[in-house]
Amino acid sequence: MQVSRRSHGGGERCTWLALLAAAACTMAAGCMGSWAIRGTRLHYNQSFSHTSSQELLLNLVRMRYGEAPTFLDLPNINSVTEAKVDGSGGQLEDTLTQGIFGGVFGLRDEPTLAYQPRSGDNLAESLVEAFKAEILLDIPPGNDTRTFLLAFVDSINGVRNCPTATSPSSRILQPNDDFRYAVDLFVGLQSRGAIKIRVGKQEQQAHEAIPVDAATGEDVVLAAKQGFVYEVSDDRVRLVERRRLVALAIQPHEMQAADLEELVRLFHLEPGHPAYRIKSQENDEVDLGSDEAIVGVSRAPTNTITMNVRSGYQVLAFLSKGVDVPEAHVRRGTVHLFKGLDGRPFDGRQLTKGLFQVCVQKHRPLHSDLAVHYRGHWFYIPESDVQSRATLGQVKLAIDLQSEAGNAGPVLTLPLR
Amino acid sequence: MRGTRLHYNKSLSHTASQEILLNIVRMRYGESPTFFDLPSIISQTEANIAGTGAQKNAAYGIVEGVFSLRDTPTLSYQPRTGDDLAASMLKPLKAEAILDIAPGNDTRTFLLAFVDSINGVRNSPTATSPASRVLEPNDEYRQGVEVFTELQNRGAVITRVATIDEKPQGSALPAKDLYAKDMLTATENNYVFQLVGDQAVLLKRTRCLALTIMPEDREAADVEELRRLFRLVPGRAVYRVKSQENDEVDLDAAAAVATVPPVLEVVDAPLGDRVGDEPITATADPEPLPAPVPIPEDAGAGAPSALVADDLKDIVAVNVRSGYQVLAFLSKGVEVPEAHARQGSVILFKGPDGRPFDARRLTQGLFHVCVQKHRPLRSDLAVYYRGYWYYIPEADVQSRATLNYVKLVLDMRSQAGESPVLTLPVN
Repeated sequence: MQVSRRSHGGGERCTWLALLAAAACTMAAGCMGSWAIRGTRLHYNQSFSHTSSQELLLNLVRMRYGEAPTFLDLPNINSVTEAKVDGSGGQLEDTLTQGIFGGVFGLRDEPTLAYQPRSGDNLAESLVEAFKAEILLDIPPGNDTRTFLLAFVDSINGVRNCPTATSPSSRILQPNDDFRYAVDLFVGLQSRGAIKIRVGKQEQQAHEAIPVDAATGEDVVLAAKQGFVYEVSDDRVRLVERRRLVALAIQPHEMQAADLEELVRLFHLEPGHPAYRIKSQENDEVDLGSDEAIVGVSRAPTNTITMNVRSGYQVLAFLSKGVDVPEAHVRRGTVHLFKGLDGRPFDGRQLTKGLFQVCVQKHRPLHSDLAVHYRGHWFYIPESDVQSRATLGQVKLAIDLQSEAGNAGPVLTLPLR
Repeated sequence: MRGTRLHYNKSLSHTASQEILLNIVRMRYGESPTFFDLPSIISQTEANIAGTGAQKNAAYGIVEGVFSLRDTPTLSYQPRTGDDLAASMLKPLKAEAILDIAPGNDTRTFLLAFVDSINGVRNSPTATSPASRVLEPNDEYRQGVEVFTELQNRGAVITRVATIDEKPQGSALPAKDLYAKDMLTATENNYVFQLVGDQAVLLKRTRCLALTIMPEDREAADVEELRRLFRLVPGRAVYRVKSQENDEVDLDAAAAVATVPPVLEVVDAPLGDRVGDEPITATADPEPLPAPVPIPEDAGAGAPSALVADDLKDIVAVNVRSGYQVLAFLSKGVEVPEAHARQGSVILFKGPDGRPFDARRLTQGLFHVCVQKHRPLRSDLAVYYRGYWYYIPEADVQSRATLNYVKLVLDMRSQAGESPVLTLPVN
């Protein structure tokens, strides 16, 4: 191919055309990366969100069948797109008035998905370590608090949310009606502003008292710097720790409200307090030298709300009780049927009623985008069940928060062509 | 670089806005948000041109050649999880953030979207949960914010930095036992000894945020209205602004008693006393603040001010939301198609009285997302979800500004760009 340097006629036009085409291709090629972001980012986001929800749903169904959950994280996606233009320009020598311009272009999209099975510390942190009661401070009031209390809390001051349901292979379950009733009262009070989760402070003696002369001004400053104070009484000074805690504060004008009194009764609380401390059960230590170690835990009214908060694994196992199972599986004994404490059949779905339910059918559901195929059946959340979807979303978020999958640093070395 | 940098910038910004919009729409449907960060973009472009030229005869010269262009961007996406997700989504902002927020519309946006309540006046707290069904109106709160913004716009109120000596650290010690170096140690650690008779008590010196009212506006009708709406003690020129998490409930208190008013002392201007970026001048300073007075030892033993919500206060207790709560709140401004409402795939809200409640009124004038079946012609900010297009119309500048403001705040709290994610041995 040859191009004429003639300064007139079709040859010149041809040259300009060729240059124009080349420039256009250059511009198009230069923009490729930015268009790749527009073309991929939201699609990856949607696919990631959707498959994460499906993975969680699959794990819940698995646990209903006594299997262990498996998580396959996707901490990194490397999307390599390529736009390529190869071309040539010139003019046929035998027809100098006609220029030609030819070429090929190619587009290539080569995503690299770096899957990482969750294991070790990451699995332990996200699934086995229990959440803390302090997380209540970060949970919005209303439905999210209700979901948290029903799904993530095993018991409050001894009122039990069916602890045996947190094991995937338990056969004997007990109803959680008292707990659910108390949670509904709590959320009702919270929604109208009668009670509120707040930060509280409390002082606790950290050391036996010493003579007051032993404390200097510098000691007082150093203690304050580390969250302690010295309290003086009767020529003695004692070291006191100042702690920040989660507290349930009650509006003064609601102290006599009937539903508040009912909540106080249900949770074995001392009436009349303007605030109650909230603590995780793991921080509620048994004093081995006290009477409690000999005669057992007291059921007397208290000014503390002790919450036994579940781990991610326990939450999944509990929610798995809301999974419907096909009759064929029941007949074959592939899945447990539950019994109550009295030995009579117990419908596990009543534990998660109004919180979480998974339907099952043989054929792929038409009106659901959240469905997984398992053991020959489709398990799904109907499109109209917003509550179950919200519960699944909140559990997913909580487990993601505990996971360090995305903080793994460099995970991939890509040999680029 | 000229051919790619600005294009990448535009695409990154555009898709980040779309992602926030998509997450807000998701939350309207009870789903949880998903963030897909793009901490690294590797752009490789290549241009090759090879040619030859020759002079065939006197009349004709001939050139020929081939060219090749290649653009191979590598986009490293990273889902946001763990600490990064917690930092950007769950940890609430502090009230002190107001100092860094430009007065005017940004302050209005912050107060309407990021704040849950001020002195017990509620901005519909249950709306911060994605699946709540019962919502309450926030008319009183919105009115308070409008009055505040108006006062701020005309310079009648300004936010400033102050110091306060508070929280007695334990019992008082005999003053005779104090040495000079103790004072130095105390000052170095942000404490101060205060003498009361022959006793010395250690106080915590804290820098805090204060709302000051200009002397000439102290009796203005709208200032009075602001005080009434936010239940503030009348007549004061300065009110301390405090995050609710710093307004602790005293669990040792046996009974509820009023808290002792804190004492404010304006810090010298060079320490950062400012309104936005403006230095404080003598004319901007309101009347002299009250001199510090000793704080009784039992100052901390009172019940928290929020426990006496109906009483007037000398502090502005601000309960600030987390990123998750902000998105859930803004999701109430998303319109939903009738078909979805009929199918039950989206929640319809009720008020406290059990009657239908239009949640869009909570975010009216702040954020609104439209919906239609077909791709909108006049909007560059649209996402496709569940068979419909959700979009912010081109003419709705306020909604776009709110979205971008939220995006900026969430981005500031994210550590997405901090870790290397890719090693590229390029051939």
